Amino acid sequence: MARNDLLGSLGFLVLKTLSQSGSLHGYGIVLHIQRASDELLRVEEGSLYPALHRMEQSGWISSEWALTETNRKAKYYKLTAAGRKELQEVEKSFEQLVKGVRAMLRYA
Amino acid sequence: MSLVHRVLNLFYRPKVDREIEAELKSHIEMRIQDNVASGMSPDVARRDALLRFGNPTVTKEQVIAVDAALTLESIGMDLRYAFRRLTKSPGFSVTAILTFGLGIGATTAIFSAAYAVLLRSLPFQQADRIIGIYETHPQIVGGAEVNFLDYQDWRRQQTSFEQVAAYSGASSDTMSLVMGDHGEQVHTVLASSNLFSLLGIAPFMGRTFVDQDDTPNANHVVVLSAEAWQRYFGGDHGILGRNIDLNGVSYAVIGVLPPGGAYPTAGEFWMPLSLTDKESQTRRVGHTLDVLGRLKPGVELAEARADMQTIAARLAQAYPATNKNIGVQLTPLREQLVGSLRPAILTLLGCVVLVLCIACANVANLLLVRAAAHAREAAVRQALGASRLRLLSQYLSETLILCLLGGLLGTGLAALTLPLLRVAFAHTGGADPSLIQSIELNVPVLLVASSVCLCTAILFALLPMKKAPNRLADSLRPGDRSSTGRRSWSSSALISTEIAIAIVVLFLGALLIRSFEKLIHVNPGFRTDHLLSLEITLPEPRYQDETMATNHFYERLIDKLQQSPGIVSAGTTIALPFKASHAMTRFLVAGEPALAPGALPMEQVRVVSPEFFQTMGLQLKQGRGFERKDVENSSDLIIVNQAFARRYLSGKDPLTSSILMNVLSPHPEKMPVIGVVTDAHDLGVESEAEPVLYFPGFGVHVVLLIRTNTDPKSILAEVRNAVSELDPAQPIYHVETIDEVLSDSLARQRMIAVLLGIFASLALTLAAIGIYGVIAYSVAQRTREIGVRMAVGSSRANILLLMLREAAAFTGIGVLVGLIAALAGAHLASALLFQTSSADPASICVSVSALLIIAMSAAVLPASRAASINPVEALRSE
Repeated sequence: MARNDLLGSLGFLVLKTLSQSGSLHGYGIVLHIQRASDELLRVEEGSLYPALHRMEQSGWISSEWALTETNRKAKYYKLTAAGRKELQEVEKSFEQLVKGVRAMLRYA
Repeated sequence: MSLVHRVLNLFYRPKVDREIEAELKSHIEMRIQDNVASGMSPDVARRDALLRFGNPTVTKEQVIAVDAALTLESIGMDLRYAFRRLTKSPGFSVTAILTFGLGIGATTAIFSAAYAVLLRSLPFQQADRIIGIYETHPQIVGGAEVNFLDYQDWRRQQTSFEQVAAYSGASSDTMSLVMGDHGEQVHTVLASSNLFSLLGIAPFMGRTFVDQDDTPNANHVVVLSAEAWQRYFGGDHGILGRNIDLNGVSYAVIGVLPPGGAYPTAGEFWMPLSLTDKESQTRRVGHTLDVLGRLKPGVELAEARADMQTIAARLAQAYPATNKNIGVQLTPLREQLVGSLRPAILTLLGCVVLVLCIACANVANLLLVRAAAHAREAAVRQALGASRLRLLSQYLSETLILCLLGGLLGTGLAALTLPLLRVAFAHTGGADPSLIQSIELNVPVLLVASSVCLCTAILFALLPMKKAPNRLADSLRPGDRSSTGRRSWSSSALISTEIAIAIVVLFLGALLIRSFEKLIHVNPGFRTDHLLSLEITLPEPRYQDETMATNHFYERLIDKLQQSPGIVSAGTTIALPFKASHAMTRFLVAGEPALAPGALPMEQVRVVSPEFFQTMGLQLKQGRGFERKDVENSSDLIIVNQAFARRYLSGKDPLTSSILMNVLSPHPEKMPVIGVVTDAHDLGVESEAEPVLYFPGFGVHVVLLIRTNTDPKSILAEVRNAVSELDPAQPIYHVETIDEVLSDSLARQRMIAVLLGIFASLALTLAAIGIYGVIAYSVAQRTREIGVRMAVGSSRANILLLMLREAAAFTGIGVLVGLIAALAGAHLASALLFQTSSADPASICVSVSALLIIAMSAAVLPASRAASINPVEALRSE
């Protein structure tokens, strides 16, 4: 659980996004989270970047500069092997959390 | 890994910065582009993008903090900034570093001495379990050497010690080592076979004694000290098993001790204790042995003491004639080696710590003043978002630089003074030379010094934090005077404390200097200048005490010497003046009622040549002196000194009195008193003239005293010639002038007086700097107020008085508090004082007036500057 706390739900969303769509820049990640969550989840876009850099320092994602379709330079992030493993663990503990909370809801 | 990466990123700060900026910018621009594409006007599109993004600057800061170890960077920045600030006010920095450096230097030097002498473990196995055991006698101060038979009884009866060992350390025994054609006088020590195993000393070569060596009929064997092995045999490895000739007897060398000479006594040739002369081995009269015991595990010193006292009481009962007044004293080996140095070092350490406190108070004051001046800067920084922790880190980097530079300076100073200190301590009799030589800047000393630096740096950094404003608005208000109108309370308290401490140090310094002055003005009862002393020991068995051969040798030597133009007279005695001697004898004044054997009086005894009194310059008050024929006839005659006559012959005519000697034997000898001579402080300047009994004669070992009319050392060649004409192989040794002996005997007192004098002047100087600083700052802060006062009619004299009154207030309080503390503390040092009361009024006057004069002169300078302020300029200044 502790690692889950450290990463936070934003980190989880970023890892999940990158695992589904390969390589993406920060703006792309924001758009994807919004689309995928049916506009339910909105992040303050700036706060994404400290999280991205922290995950990069932890070795879960790697980055490189590349050109967008509109010929603009952007920094693209993609999942590393360590990041994939991390995502599995986070998903597992997240599911447990959801299960637990559901059980509590039913009981109450 | 990530930390390394983050630290590395510090070195690429500009690149990291650029990349992050570019990344954030591309995000915002992509959002703007999408917004425009969805139909917003460019302005609205940008606004929306920024709104969604949040504050880009803050985000950028956050991202950088993730990528780079910024705390480290800010520490580096603080250090650089602190360094710039310090170099910008060199006056402040240099004063602070010098002040702190002086304090740390003095403290480090004295602490390294204290560490070496008092704290560092001795080079023996479990040295704290080794106890010195002495016999005591009511007429001898401290512990005395032990009788051979008493030692044997102790050894058999005691139950507290694993081992008890003895050596003849006190008697400075020497023997002639004959090597080929020339002789050397060497220092010999007799030791019981278990001494080395008790101390845990393994031989460097060969072996030390085993029990068989220490039996009466064993072969003669000798163990060499490493130093003797080098000096006399050039470190020859073939020495083991060789026979050497000592006093005409052959000894087999069985071992060499490890170098260092850290034995309880500095012996060169060690021999088994069974070689002690028969007289000592059979009678409970002579006391020649130093005894050591190693406590059994679990036995406390107090238990051992009780055990030994029971044995001493048993012996007193069994042998009342000799042992009635003999007690026993147990002293840990450390105490024995440290001697009388402990109170001296503790006093010095106390004073030097006080000096360090003054230095710290000074620096603290300077820092407070600086903090007040920078209060507004601190407030602005806080307003811009600096946390108090951040401010502290900045102050800390400043004080760290100051303290570390000061500490470096101080350590350098200490390193320079240590050789001087070693010399100063080396001549202070009582302490073991190996302890003194180990005074050095070693790891523990440096650790203590650097932790003192660190702690003071942290304390100093906390000080200005108190000054850092809590309410920003207050300190940012223009022309604010809340912190400047009146001088802060803490600064006054600091300076008063400083003055109080300075008074304590001054007073102690004054006391010890006065005590020393009294000491050097004691009249020793004879002229100490132009007097040379040296020792001669004639080899036995060719010469014996009081035989024709011995008498002739010395009489011919004295005659030869007295013919020399540079020599006024020459005479012999048995103990060097100013060296405490335990040559004492029991006696009874004839005609007095017989006393129980244990109650017999005991006094100093000297066997002297007829020329001794003239050579020393002791005057004959009554009767006649000794003559050559008294020596030749071995006449039983006595000369006493005035102290003896006063104590034992009062109301009698000394010249008709007789003294009974050899009172413990069945046939005491009655000896007439033929003369009375003046007293000499023979046992040391500090002790009163003791009663002395003089007998005529020459022993094998003599101290030859030569009164000259030229430089005493210049006649040394003549003396050597005269001796070698009589016997070419006869060495002379321990050549010293009596002035040197006297000066050495006062070395400890001189050292303390000089060091405390230095500390006192250091304290005074530092206090002066402190007072000057405080008043100067006060003047600077009150310029406007002074201007107003002058504008409304204050005269210059009034202003001068105003400023001086301020100085007088904190000086007065400091002096009062200091005096109380000094009087309370001085009696702790009373053990060091000679004929000086620990509340000596003259010392009080001197220290108080010295401080008042210094304080006022330090205050007058800035005060007169205040008085010469131009009111118009002062009022315009803000």
